[in-house]
Amino acid sequence: MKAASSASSSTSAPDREVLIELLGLHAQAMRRMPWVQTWIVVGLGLFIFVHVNHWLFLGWGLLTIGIELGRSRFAAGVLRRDLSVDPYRTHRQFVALAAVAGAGIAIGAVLFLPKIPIWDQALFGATLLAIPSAGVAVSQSSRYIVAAYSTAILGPGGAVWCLLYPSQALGGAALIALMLTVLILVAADGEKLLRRSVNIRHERDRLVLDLEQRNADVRIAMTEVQSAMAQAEQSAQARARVLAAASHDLRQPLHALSVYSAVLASKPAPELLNEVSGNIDQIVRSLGNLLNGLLDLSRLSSGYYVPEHEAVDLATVVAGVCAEFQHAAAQKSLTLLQDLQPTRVLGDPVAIGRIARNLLDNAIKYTDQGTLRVTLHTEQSSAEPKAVLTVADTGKGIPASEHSRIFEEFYQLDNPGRDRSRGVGLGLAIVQRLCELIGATIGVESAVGEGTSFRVRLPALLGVSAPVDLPSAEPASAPFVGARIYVVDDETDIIRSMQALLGIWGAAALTADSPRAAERIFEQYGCPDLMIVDLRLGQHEHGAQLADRLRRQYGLFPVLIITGETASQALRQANESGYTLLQKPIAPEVLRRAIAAAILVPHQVDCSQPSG
Amino acid sequence: MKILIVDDHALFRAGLRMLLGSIGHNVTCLEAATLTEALSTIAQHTDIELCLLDLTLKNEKGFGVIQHITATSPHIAVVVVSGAEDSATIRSCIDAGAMSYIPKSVVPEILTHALQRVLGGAVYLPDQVASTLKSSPTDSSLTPRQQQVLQGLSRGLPTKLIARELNLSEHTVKEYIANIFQVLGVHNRTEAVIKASQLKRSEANAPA
Repeated sequence: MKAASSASSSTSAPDREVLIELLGLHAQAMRRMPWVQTWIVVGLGLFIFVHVNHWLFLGWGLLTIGIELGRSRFAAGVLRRDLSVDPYRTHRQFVALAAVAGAGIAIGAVLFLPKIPIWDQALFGATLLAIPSAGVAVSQSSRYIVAAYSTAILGPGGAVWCLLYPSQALGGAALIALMLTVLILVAADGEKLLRRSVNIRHERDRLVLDLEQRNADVRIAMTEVQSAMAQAEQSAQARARVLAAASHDLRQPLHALSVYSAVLASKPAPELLNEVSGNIDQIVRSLGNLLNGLLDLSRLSSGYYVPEHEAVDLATVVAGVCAEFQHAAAQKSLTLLQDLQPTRVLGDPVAIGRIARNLLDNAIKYTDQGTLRVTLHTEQSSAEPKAVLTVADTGKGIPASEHSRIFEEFYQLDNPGRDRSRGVGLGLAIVQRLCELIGATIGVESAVGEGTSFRVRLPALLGVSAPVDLPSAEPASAPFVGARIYVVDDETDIIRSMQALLGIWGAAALTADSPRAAERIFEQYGCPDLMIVDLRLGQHEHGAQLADRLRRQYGLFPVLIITGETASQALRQANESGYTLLQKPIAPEVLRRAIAAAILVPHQVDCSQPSG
Repeated sequence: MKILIVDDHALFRAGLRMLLGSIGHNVTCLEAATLTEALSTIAQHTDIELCLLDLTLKNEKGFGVIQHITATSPHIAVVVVSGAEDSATIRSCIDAGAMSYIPKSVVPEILTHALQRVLGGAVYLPDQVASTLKSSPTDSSLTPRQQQVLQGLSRGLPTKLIARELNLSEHTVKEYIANIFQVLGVHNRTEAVIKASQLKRSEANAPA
């Protein structure tokens, strides 16, 4: 029903536009009408004033001018507001006003025609006939306005005439009917003309719009090409820089290896061999580290690395990394403190571990005495709650001027000699690249002599991981144990993260990447405790329609619709269908609450098929 | 023989130390990672004869280091062992007073050979540098005395010190130097050192 009406409204869109156009022109013409009416009254008055009751004539004149003033005011009001808001109603109002104005004039005919001499009657009659003719022009070809105005004038006017001259009644009535018909036909022709001109203008606008769109496309394409070129150049420069630094750093260990090769060739004393092999081992290791670092960096930069999206117990990961470095810290007599609030995020445990490892490795390298502090907490202040990993040291600190450079490849603070015992200078570059990949941000706070603190903000906070440590007000970690939830989304990333999240919450999640796949799940497993569906499925059917269809087929089950859209036909329909809508990006907490609300409303679940 | 190795790469230093110990006799190696360390070691050990120097140290860089060492300790022959291998750098090192230049990138056999030459008091320069000079007939036309003067010259010693070492007058040494330049067909000390690097090892190895 709704669809039908919207379809019909879409086909009548040009008519609507014609009407809007017509209303605008009519309203413009209306503004002149009080003057025209004044002249009509004055002109008539010159002939008939002496024959009729003066007060009556003055009253009639003022009435008709007043009506026209009213029409004019109304027209001015119409012109001030947006004509496209319900033009049909405005049109109806104009038709009614035209009828009132015509009736006003007709009152004159009824009152004065019988009272005046025959010659004046003829003049009055002619005037009455002329007014509707002019009305065709003024109405700007609206058949309905013309009909209302003309009939209101000619009907009573003709009737009075016929009463005055019964012998002319039949012919007069026929003539008046003919005139009305002709007027309406002329108006209809005008309307056609107007429609055609509107269509022409429409077409022209479309062409212009099309052209502009194309120009815009070309401009966008140009900027894309330019930015791609700039980016390519930038990355080429970065690559050249990395290559230069890498070739230097790769040559150093090679030179050293060459020396050891010479040592071995010179048949050294046997007691030296241990040292030689130990040193070669060290060199090979550092060479390996360097090569691995370079490979990692190139892998991370080239987009081959696809981060995982799984539930990560941050505290466990970070504690593990801390344990790895306990020995290294102890060797430098550094205290390694941990303050790890149990926290879970949806992310890539390998990437997160690597970030923590590199940061801690760095901290130990650049700290000669004092404390390393690794903390993990959550940050609720921002729009999206985040997990924050901080690695702080009491090392020499980084001057503010260097803060932006420390993430560059091969940049090493205060190590122009490139002493490789202090690492290869790729650690922070890798950290930054990893952060970009997993959607985390990294910041550094540092003051020379006071130490450095790196802070990594990780998105997709799932909550805290150890419910036992928390007040009981916190929700249980697996609130939806046993709930069967179907997830339909055409983006596999979303499906995977959703599945992981639901898994953590104890729900059994079945996923489908298309309406067809969703149907198969329904066929096989029946109706779910909840279906979560993306509004946009990349197919002819959007999420709300799919939900409607499946609910008709399998009975009522709760539905959550997720969407990134803020305005669209589909969104409106989804709204009308009464499903709960969740706007992307959805914080896990919001999702959890929505799921809880959806599956805890029992009357919605009414499956006709047995669930198996 | 006491040798000071100056390089900021500890593993490279260790390698050089082992290699020198293995190919030389009675070689004692001292190590320094920075110029400051090098200078204090030189001050403590006045009997250092040879210094193997990396051109790019942590905080110091370039030829100033060579000048610094030859100026303060003229008795030390400076041999640059560095990663750079372009002729301009090598000539600049000799200009600054270095006696030899061994690129780190040479293959192990050449490295051993170069170090053996240097230990023997001869000049080593990569072939590419020698080839920058017009090849003139280089034969053994230098007298032993002239060779001794050339060696002093190669080590970057001032005329006065060469004269003192050889028990000659400064004037005589100057005459020797002029003769050597004429025989070798060179115009300055740097060219003379480059020529010296082409002399057969046996000649250069003549007893001082």
